[in-house]
Formats: sequence, structure tokens, C-alpha cells
Amino acid sequence: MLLLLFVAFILALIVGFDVAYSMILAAWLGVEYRGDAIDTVMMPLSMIAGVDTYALVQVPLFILAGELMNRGGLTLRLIDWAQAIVGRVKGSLGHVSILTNLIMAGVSGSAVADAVATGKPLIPAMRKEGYGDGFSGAVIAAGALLGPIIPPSIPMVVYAQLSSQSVVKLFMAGIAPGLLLASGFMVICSIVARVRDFPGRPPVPWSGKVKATGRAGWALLMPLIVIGGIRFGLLTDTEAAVAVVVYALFVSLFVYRGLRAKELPKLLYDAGRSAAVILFLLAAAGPFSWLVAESQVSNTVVDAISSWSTNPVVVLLIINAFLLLIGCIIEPLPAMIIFLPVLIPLGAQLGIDPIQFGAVVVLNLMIGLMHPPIGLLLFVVSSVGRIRIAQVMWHSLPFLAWAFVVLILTIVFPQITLWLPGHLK
Amino acid sequence: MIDLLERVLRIVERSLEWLMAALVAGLVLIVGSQFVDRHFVTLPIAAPDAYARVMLVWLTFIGFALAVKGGLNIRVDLIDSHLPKRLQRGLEYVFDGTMLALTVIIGTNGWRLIEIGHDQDRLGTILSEAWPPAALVLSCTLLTLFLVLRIVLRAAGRELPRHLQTGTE
Repeated sequence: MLLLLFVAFILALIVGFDVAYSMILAAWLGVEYRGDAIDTVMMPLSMIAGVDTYALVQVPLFILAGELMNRGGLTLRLIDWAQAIVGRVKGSLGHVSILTNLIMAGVSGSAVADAVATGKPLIPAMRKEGYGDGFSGAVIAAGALLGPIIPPSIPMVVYAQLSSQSVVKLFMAGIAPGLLLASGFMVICSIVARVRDFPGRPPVPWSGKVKATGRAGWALLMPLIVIGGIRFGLLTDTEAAVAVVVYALFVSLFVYRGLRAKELPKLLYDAGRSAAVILFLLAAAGPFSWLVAESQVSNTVVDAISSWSTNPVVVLLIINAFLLLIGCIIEPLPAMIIFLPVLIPLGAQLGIDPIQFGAVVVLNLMIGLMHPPIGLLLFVVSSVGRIRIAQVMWHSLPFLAWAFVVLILTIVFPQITLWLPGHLK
Repeated sequence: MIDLLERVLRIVERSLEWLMAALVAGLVLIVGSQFVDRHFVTLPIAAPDAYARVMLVWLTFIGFALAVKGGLNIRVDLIDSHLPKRLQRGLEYVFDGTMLALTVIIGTNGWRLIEIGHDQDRLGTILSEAWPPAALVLSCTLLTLFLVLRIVLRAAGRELPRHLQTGTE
């Protein structure tokens, strides 16, 4: 019966009912089915417990940091700097987009915010230089994909909460796959630029490069604050979020002066509301996790997958194929919150390292941001750049293919994700 | 009547907007105070993380009510946009009605939590355990208000007024 409720929940989701409320509905029906055995007060109690966690404070703070970067002029300085550094090569604006996103990914952790921030100035510029609409949108989407993989990462904070793992270790696990993705994306940009003979820009002399680096210096320091601060134990993960907020606020208000003090309340409110939508999913996941445990869906899934293979690599591949299918119908964060309570015990039972499992799952679900039919980043860049979505989808294929290669590499070679966390004190 | 309703809604939303901004600013201050306390000066606040968690709970529940009002909550838009208009409209009533019923159930049970937590101290703070469920109950009250208005206005062929600017998503 409880398994049927789980199926009913999936149906509610597919017909378009609110994701969080679909979870609450399924859990409530489960409580009612058990009759007097369970007090209904369990529902609000587990909802509150779902977000009453200190580590989750990072979610609104990293969203706020991203907003400050975008509105305070830090992102624009980063774009100027990247242009000065790689502007000379053919199709340089593609590299500029990837490089800028790589630096921004070290601060914001939100792919959508990064896509909007870099897409607005760069898509018109790429269009002007004859890159074509589809490729321009695809490069921005690919660059923005780095946001939730390179630390800090909101999905990794969510995974840490669901699996009781160290946020810092998960952050470190994302660095190598993120760098692999970025380097592959840049190679793809180079190949496309050569094949389609995209123009380069006039070379910037060394003095110009130094000047651009000086202008963007404040922005370039931000990822170092996060990663260095956490790595060397000066800051906890949550304090790192505050450090970048305070730093970005100072630079935006007093150095770059891209932000006025009177804009701050709106900025704080926007960040809070965006965070609330994510956090409410976690609240709803509280009673839903109970349903998952009661219905023993995880045991059914574990038995089914174990009957095929008990080899961790094969199981990880099967899980990833399943998550990629899920990514076709559900956005990454809800998918994570819904299916991780089922999948985490499976990983543990087969002896898969939970940090590697987390990094792989996050990478997999973030790829869902770029693949049809609901790849959120495709919609965002098509809206920001006024590009037909089919064009962006078509040109995204090489980037998507490389993302799949990186995913398979991280599954087959756990060292890619585990080497850096292994060096933490 | 509609004008009066819009005015009241605007006041409610503005107040909540300020509350949300204050909560985010409060989180920055309170987490920052931990860093200061650890590295520089011992501050008189015993358990800043306990306060931060209460603020986060408030931010989550109040923010979600506002997101629902603005239509920013997450849905899987896979098949409903392909359905006939009449069926879509019917589904919207079903969705809002179901959300309303669940909201009332959660809210009433949340009230029980307030009563239970009223006499229990939250460790390290001057707050009681009633504070987190109070956010849930307030959120449910707001959601009930927004959902009832949305259903009634939809039946009258109107939409719930949106005062708040959007644009960060």
C-alpha cells in the first residue's frame, strides 16, 4: 500500500502539482493509512526538523553572495579580465565565458544566477562577432554548469544535509571534476572556433593585462577566500559564506560602487525568497523521508539493483542512468531531495564512498540542467539571449557529451573526487 | 472591496518583505559574530548557531508563502501545459484546493507544537521551542489567505494581484 502511495506521489508530480506539496501529500496519506499508530503532529515536526540545521544557513548566504557579485559590478570586471587574458585566441569570447564562470563558480554556487550574469553581456557580444545564436547560448549554459560543481555548491550543501556528510569534504570533491569540465569546454570552444573560423580580438599588451588584473583583483580574490579559508581552517564552511558576502558587499559599495545602499533591502529579500523555495523542499522532504523509509522503497530498489550486479562501479553506472532519466522530468534539486533517501542506503550497502557518491550524484543531476526537455539552463540562456531553444539545445551537444565523459571518469576513477578531500585534516 | 483587499495585501507583503530582508541580514550578522568570537573578541552571545537556526526556519516558511503567492514555487511542467485550457483550469482548482487542505492540516498540527514547545527552553537561547513552529503556523495562515483569495478571484475571472517585483530567479 505504501509503495502505491509512492507511485501516487510520482503521478502527482508529473501532472504538475507543487513538488514540495506532492511530498507532503504522499506523507500525509501514509500517516492516515497507518491510522492511530502515528500522531499527525509528526508532519509539522519533521518539516521543521528538515530545515532546523545550521549548515543550511549557507544556502541563503551563497545566493546572496552571487547576487552581490552580479549587481555590484564584480562579474563585469571578471569578464573584462578574462577578455584581456584570453581575448587574442580565436573564438575568445567562448573562453571568456568559461573562464569567468569558473571564477564565479568559486563564489556563487548557483548556475542560473551565473548564466544570467554572464549571458546578458556576452551573448550580444558573441552574436556581434558572428558566433551564431545557438553556440553563444550553449557556451553560456556550459559555463554556468560549473557553478554548482566547483565549491561552494548549494546542491552539495543539500546532499550533505540529506546524507549527514561533511560539507567541506563534498566541496573539495567537486574541484577536480569542475576543472576537468572547464578544460574540456575550453577545448570544445577552440575546436568550434577553428572549424567555423571565429575571429580573435586584437592582442592586449602585458601592461593592459596587468591593468585588467588589477581592476578585477578584488573579484579574483573571492574564490581564494572561500576555498583557501576553508582549506586552511581559518573559516568554517558557513563562515566562508559570510566572508564572501561581507567582502562582496564592501567591494560593491565602496570599491566598484556598482551597488547603492538603498538597493540592499531588495537584494536581501530576493536572496531570502530564492533560498526559501529550495529550503522548503527540504522541509517537505522531512515527512517524505519517513514515507520512503516506511514503504521500504529503498529495500526494493536495493534488491532490484543488487540482483543485476554488486559491483560498485556497475551499480553507480545504473544509478546514474536512472538519475539521467529522472533529470529529463524533474529539476536537479527536487530530484535529489526525492530520490536520495532511497539511493543513499544503496550506496552505503555496496560500500561506495559517500563523498564520491555525493559528487557523482551532484554532477549527474547538474548535467540535467543542460539536457532536454527541462534543462533549466537552456531555458534561461534562450530567454536572456532571445534565442530559439532548439538552437541552444543543438549546439549544447558537444558540451553535454564532454560532461557525460567527465561523469563516467568520476565513476570509474574515484580518486578524481576523493584525492582532495583525503588531504583534509 | 477589491481595492481594499489590494491595499491590505500590499501592507502584508511589504511587512513580510522587510521581515525577510531583516532575517537574511540577521543571518549574516549572527554567523559573522561566530568568526569574531572565535578569532578576536569573546562576545556575550552563548549559542549564535541556535539563533541562526531559528532565523533560518522563519526565512524558509515565510519565504515559501511569498513564493507561492508570486507563483515561484517549483512544479514539474511536463504535461499540464499541453492539456486543454478547460482541463488546465480544472486542475488549477484541484491543486489549489489540495494545497489549501494540506496547509490547514499542517497549520493545525503546528499549533499543537507551539503549545507543546511553549514551556520548553531552546538550549543556549532566551527563546522557547515554540518559535520554530510559530513560523510554520504563520506561513500556513498566509498560505491559507493567499490560496483562498486565489481560488475566489479565479472563479471571478481575476488573478491574485502581484505587488512584489520578481526577477532574481
